[in-house]
Amino acid sequence: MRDPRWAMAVVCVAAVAGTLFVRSDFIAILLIWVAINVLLTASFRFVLLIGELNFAVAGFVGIGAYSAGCATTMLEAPLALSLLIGAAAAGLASVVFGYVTLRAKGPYFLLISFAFTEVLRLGYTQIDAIGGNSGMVGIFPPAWLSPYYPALVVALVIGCLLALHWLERSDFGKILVAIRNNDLIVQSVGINVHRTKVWCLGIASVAAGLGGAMLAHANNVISPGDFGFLLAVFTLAYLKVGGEAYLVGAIVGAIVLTLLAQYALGFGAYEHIFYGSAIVLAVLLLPDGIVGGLARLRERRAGRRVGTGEA
Amino acid sequence: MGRALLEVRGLTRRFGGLTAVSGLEFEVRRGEILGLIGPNGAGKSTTFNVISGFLKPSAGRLFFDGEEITGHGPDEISRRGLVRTFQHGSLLREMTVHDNILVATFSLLDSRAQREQRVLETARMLGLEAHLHEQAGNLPHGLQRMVSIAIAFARRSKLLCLDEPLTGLNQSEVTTALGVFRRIRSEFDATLLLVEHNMKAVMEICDRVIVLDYGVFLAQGTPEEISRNEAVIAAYLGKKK
Repeated sequence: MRDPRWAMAVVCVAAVAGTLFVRSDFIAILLIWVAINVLLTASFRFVLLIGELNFAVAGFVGIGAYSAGCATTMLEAPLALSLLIGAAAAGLASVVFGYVTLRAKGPYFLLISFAFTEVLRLGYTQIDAIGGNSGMVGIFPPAWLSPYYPALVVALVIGCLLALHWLERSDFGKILVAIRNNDLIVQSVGINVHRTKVWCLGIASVAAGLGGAMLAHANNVISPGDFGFLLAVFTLAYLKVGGEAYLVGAIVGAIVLTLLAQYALGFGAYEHIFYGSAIVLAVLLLPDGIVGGLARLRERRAGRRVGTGEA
Repeated sequence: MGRALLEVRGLTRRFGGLTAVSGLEFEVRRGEILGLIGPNGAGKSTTFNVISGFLKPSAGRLFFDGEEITGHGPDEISRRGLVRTFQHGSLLREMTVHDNILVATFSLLDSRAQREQRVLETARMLGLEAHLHEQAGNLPHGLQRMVSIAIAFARRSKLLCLDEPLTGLNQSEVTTALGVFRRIRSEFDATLLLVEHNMKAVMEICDRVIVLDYGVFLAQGTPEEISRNEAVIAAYLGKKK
């Protein structure tokens, strides 16, 4: 029996188990970055289900990172609690933000969410208690856990991806796509569209906040510049390259580009050109991303087989 | 006979300095098919948008099924049993016909089995059962129209407000659609309010017709009365000099 769920379970367990055997610090931190970027891209994509480009994702990653950082360094909270605080803070902030702003759509919401991210970034630089411009230091997971931290991150990311996938396939996910298609119709059949959109953003931002909290404990240092609008541009690039129609696209795009970007680091100040050109190239050459392109290729081959079968 | 299903009392809607609808009074009686007609810009669409809650009235009150609905949101009005369609046969283009209809049942039916049952019955009623798993946006125009009506009909509402449901349909499709409207009324005790430019169809199917002109009430009556009404003829064709 070839149940795709079995294959998925095997891949998930193998990913976590494989992480446990990584001995190189460089590969370990790279794995964490890849995993977190996957999560942020999935969060960004979840809001795209209602048709909105959510540049506030970077802001919520920052809220997650800073609140988890505060919990660990100032309150000496256990890691689990810090991560929970990071996710919850981002989720709550996003619900308030979404309630106020989600009546705007398209370019208007994009601009508002962009401004939100930049305001937060500038805000951090002005608060000395969280390190101001130079950032917050000393955010460590407990020493005994450090060797297992990459595996923990990968496991949590996989858990979030499965939850987002399940939500997308549920009735709730159908309503989100329906809102993207035509929000007036959704209202006309008795569904509170605004509340649904706020929920969507809230769920996505819990994932983003958790990502930020995990990132803070992986890098041990966070600074305002980590959470500017460029982070949102990166997630957009990951998604465009991977293929936005599929959750797998978010995963593939984030993995491929994060690894490729390790080479781009050598470009110094021109590093960002790499992401820009990745978006342009993907849009021009692979309009449905890597995964979309592969899916079309498979369809065409299947079509040809059917064609010859009939002839 | 109790109160009318929908009562519109002194309805006014202004956009800035423009008064789109002014002091409109009419009622929709239970079980009838009521046509709302008028030349372009007469305020039909505004009236529709206010009745269904997509626009708030500037003045006036609305009563549906004996309760006041003035100022309620569109989702709440829909849950009370007044559902509308949109011009140009709006539908959820990227979704299958099945999911288009299914989305309409979410706020209505709790059990999955009931919803699927409802989707199937609705699709059968509108001749869509062969297309359930096709993407709605890829269907021919006539079927897309049926999908947009199916979305509204899936709710089995007391009042269906159809905004230009026949535009762009050929003669046989119009005949089919009119047959469906009649069945919706007779088999499901629904009331229909119809905005339509196809006069032949309006005269054929409506029990009563209301005419608007420049945002005000012009005339009402049976189709025969309306087609002989001097004021209506003047509004549509211009006054004799």
